[in-house]
Amino acid sequence: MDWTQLSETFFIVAFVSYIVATVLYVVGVTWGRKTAPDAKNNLFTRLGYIVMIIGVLSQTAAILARTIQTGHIPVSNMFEYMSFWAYTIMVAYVVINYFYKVPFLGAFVAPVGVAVLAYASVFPHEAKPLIPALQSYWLNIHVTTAALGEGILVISFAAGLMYLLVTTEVEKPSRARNALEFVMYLFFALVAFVALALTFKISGFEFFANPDTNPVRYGLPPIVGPSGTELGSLTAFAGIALPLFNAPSWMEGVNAPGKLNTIVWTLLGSFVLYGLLRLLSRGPVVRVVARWVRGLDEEMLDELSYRAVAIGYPVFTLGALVFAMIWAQEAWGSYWSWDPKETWALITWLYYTAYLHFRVQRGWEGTLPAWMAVAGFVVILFLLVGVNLVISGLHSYA
Amino acid sequence: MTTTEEKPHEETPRDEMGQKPAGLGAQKQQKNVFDTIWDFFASLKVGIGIIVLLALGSIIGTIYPQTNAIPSPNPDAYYLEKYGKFADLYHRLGFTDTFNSWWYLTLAMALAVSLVIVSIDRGVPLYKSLKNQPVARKVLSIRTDRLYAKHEQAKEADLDTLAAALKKSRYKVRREQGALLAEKGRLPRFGAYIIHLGLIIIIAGVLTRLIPGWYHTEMVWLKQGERKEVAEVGFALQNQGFSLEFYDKEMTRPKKYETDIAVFEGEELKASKHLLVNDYLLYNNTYIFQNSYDPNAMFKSIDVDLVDRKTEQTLGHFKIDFMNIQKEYKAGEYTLKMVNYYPDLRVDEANGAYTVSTDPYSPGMRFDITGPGLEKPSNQWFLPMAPFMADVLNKDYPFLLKSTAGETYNMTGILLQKDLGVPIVYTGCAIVMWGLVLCFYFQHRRIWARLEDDVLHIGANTNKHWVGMNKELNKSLTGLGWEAPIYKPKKVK
Repeated sequence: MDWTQLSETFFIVAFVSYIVATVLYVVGVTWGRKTAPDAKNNLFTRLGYIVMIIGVLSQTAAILARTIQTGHIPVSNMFEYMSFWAYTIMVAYVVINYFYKVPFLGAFVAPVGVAVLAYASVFPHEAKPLIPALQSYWLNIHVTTAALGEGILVISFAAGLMYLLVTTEVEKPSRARNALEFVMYLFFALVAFVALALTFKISGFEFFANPDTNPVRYGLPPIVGPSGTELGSLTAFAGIALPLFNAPSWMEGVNAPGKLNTIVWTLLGSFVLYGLLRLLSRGPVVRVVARWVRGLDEEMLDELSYRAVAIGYPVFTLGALVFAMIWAQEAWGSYWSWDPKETWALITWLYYTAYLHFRVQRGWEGTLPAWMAVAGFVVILFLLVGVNLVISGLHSYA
Repeated sequence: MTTTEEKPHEETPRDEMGQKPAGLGAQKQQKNVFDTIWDFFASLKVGIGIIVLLALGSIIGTIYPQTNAIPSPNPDAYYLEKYGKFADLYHRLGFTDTFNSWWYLTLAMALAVSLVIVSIDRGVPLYKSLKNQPVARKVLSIRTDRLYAKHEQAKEADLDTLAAALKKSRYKVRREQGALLAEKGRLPRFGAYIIHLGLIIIIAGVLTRLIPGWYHTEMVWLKQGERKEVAEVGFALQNQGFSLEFYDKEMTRPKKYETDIAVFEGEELKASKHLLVNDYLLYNNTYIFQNSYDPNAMFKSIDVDLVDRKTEQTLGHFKIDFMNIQKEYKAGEYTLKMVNYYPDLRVDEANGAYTVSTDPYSPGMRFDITGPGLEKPSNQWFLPMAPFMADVLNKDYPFLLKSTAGETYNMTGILLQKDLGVPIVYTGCAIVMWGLVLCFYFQHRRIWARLEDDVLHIGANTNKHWVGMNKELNKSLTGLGWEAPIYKPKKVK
């Protein structure tokens, strides 16, 4: 039985299900609301929920199959981990919606889950055999619990965003509206990056600059060349000679020109995507998205965002800090080494600790905590992605 | 919905920042230095400030690798060389050792102080007020509760009925004439202070590292068969066999590295174990870990052929055992006297030939070769790592020294870790988790009932999850056939 192939099949089924669920939810909060604007649920959102559950079941099977193949829960490289995180995000939504019944939340959570799963797909899928430091049952416990905590915290991000969309006056220009628009833009930037990276990966693109002297790997056509390259001398794409400019010489990090190139491509792609959407919306995109949440009870959303943190924070503490400390003590002889990943887990923890203490004060409900919940997603993203890719340390396995 | 301080029953009313107002009524409260310091650390705003500053400070410490993580004993040069000018500035400002810097440690101490003071400042009055709370509450007060119900034409017996119904929902009920107080989950109300206690214990556990003898950490590098004494922990370690395997030929992805380690006190073997990463040996409160390995291999032995340059005939061979270097080797009829030995040879214009370590990573030696047919000794280089160079240096000399076989090995990296504070830290973590579960997954619920003028007034209070409280009270009252409670939602700003 080829468990790896089975796992890949279930993974694709899950991916497609999540995309279908996203479409159903978005239709549900736009077109589906037209006939009954006050209803909290409609045929599309109900279908979306069912398809979401199908996706979760399918991804569960994918994870199980991969576990059988490798002998450990699949969380040992970026592909496996980000897929697992997308999974916990969807599971958290399915469970929370069962108890709290906020179907429209799906229109915000599902796209995030899809984006995270798509981002996971950019990374190499192959399960490499574990290096000695990872050969421990603690891998299963620490990483999965941390991922679950982070998935629950994403719900607080989505509910917080919905709260801001309900309470901000989006028809008039204001700082708050611009900030929300920027959040929308960031999401499109993520989508643009994933779309570009996946497209070029599927087409088999891979380019090495200076292969003999100092190879720089490019997953996207090299608009940015290594410092000192003659412009236009590397290769051509769509008839344009590349590179168009070079990375500055003070950028000395590993594969820095390649990473800068990815950023440039993402910026270009995001401008195109955002520009298009802005044209279609005939104005700020947030005006359209705000209509999705029109009529929703803001206190309920505020409470939901808080409850998601209240539920997720202990799980995150247990997984990302306590289990991590125990494993570090067992494997490296010290429960804390100020490794960047450990430190960022602490920073994330301190961030949500500050959030909870803000809410203890009377008068700090509502807008500020909602913004903190939204920004918290960025903190988590840096913890999971930024540290691994930008900073190197004991944790750079992936 | 959120944790609120219980106003009606506290001794000294506080404002939302937790401050005691200075001077109430006739009694003037004199604010001295201690009060000011106490109130400063008891303030929620200050606590949040400390948390935020710690987070920001920690971010600074992740921008570049800290000095404890760089593979160089010379940080002043390393940062400038590897990361450039910004990193050098970062290093000069002390940020490469952020987590031991005075300001970071001050923040951590401030956090510890704040945790202690806040818990006493708020926890003690809370405990007292909940312990002494009256059963009979004023009707006027009950009627202002967010969750309120009323039962008309009520009698004293109705209070007993209500008590029985609430007991079914696991409430602890206290009764007085015409009054009732049902309570459950008082412990979760202290959840936050239990979390604080746990954090204080963790910090204490970390601080024990400063106690002499409680903490020691050291990397011990052992060659095959080597035994080293570690003075601070009072025993010696011996590498009785180290194996290293890679997944790939290029030796970039280690598959496993394990050591047969033995612990000696004097000449007595005290303990031994086959160490794997993640599988340590615990001896005398000291953890012995398989931590890493020396990626550079050392020579164990080399088999050398002595060859006549002109005839290309092998004249003899000898073996160099690097664990036991001899002054003289015999190859056939020739004698090779070792004149110079550089275990880890480097050559440059300024310094000539020199060695950078005492371990045979890259050995080089000069021999005086004597024997039949030689008027004077032939002084030649033997460079097993650079045979072409040796040939060039030896080109005017009669012999070639060819290595035919060799054995190398890698040193094992054993980490010794003694930290008697670890159990304390673990205890603190457990208490923090317990506090978190109590604080966020349970609630403190109370229901008062007071009989006045044949009307039973029922008021309820919870510190979290009003929706759940409402549902529960609703179920209890409607189950008795009484009026459902009215819930006044809070207005959100």
